[in-house]
Amino acid sequence: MKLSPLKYLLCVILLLWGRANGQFGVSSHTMTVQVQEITGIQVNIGSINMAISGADAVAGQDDMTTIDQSSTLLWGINGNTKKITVQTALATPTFTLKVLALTPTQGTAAPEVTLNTTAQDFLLSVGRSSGNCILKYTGVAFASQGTGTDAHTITFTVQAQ
Amino acid sequence: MNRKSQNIAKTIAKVLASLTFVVASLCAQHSTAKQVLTLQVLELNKIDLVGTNLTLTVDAGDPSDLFQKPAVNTNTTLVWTSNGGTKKITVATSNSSSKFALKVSALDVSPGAGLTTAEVSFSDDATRDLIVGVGKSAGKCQLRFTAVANEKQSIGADAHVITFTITSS
Repeated sequence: MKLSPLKYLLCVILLLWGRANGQFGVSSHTMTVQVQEITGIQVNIGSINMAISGADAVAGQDDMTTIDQSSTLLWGINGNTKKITVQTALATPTFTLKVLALTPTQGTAAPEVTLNTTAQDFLLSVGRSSGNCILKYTGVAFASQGTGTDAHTITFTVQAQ
Repeated sequence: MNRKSQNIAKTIAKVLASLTFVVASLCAQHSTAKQVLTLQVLELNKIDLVGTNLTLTVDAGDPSDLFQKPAVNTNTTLVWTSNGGTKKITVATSNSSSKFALKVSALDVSPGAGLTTAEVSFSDDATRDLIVGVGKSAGKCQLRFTAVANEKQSIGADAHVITFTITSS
């Protein structure tokens, strides 16, 4: 039997209507969402320069210092309590370089660290959080050490506490 | 839709539903961060005086040694810091034609911070060596100023601005 266009259209509509109203019944399924441990850490300035000049010296004093607080350390952690350590790759620096975490939004700052090639505690008791702190670097030189340049590559590492 | 198509559709639905979606970090996990830091120490030479402006007065003193007793002052300390090559400290007065004699010497120079020269007399405004062999060090010394007058000179006053300079040897 040949259907007229109107009847054909009516059948299509009825067919689609049937499907939209669960013509195939009800089906359920299982979906699993798994969140793994995530750790992120970065420094907002990749390279900084510090210099000790006459402006940092006092006549009659052997030691001279300069301070930099221009960079920020940022992190995001969703695991158990962590700590952040710091170290330099420079094995035999001529001058002294220290670092301290200022005003951390999460965790507790460790005492100021004199950088060497061994990882030392920088920030402790960092829980599940995203946070930041200011990096306070202090460069120290003595007149008897003369002039020169130390090039450091400093590494901050998140690890289990 | 026929039964075959229905079965295919159901199979696809089951496959999709059974997938486990693992929520991983949208960016790679980073447990370390690195920063390059360059610490440069430039050559510096700093010198300063500890003490107030001085007035040396030559007076009569004991009549037996009239005009034989100079006026001496040791209240001023000279301090310096230098981290470059070997330097020296020079001294000069601004008064090129003083009436009365004025001399200066460096006493008790910090060990290893330099060597004192002979006493300097300010006969004119020329620059003269006061301490030599100043190495990479911080040091200090006591300044001894001596003013002398004789009976042939009338009363008066000389004003001096004394300048100490760290300079290359």
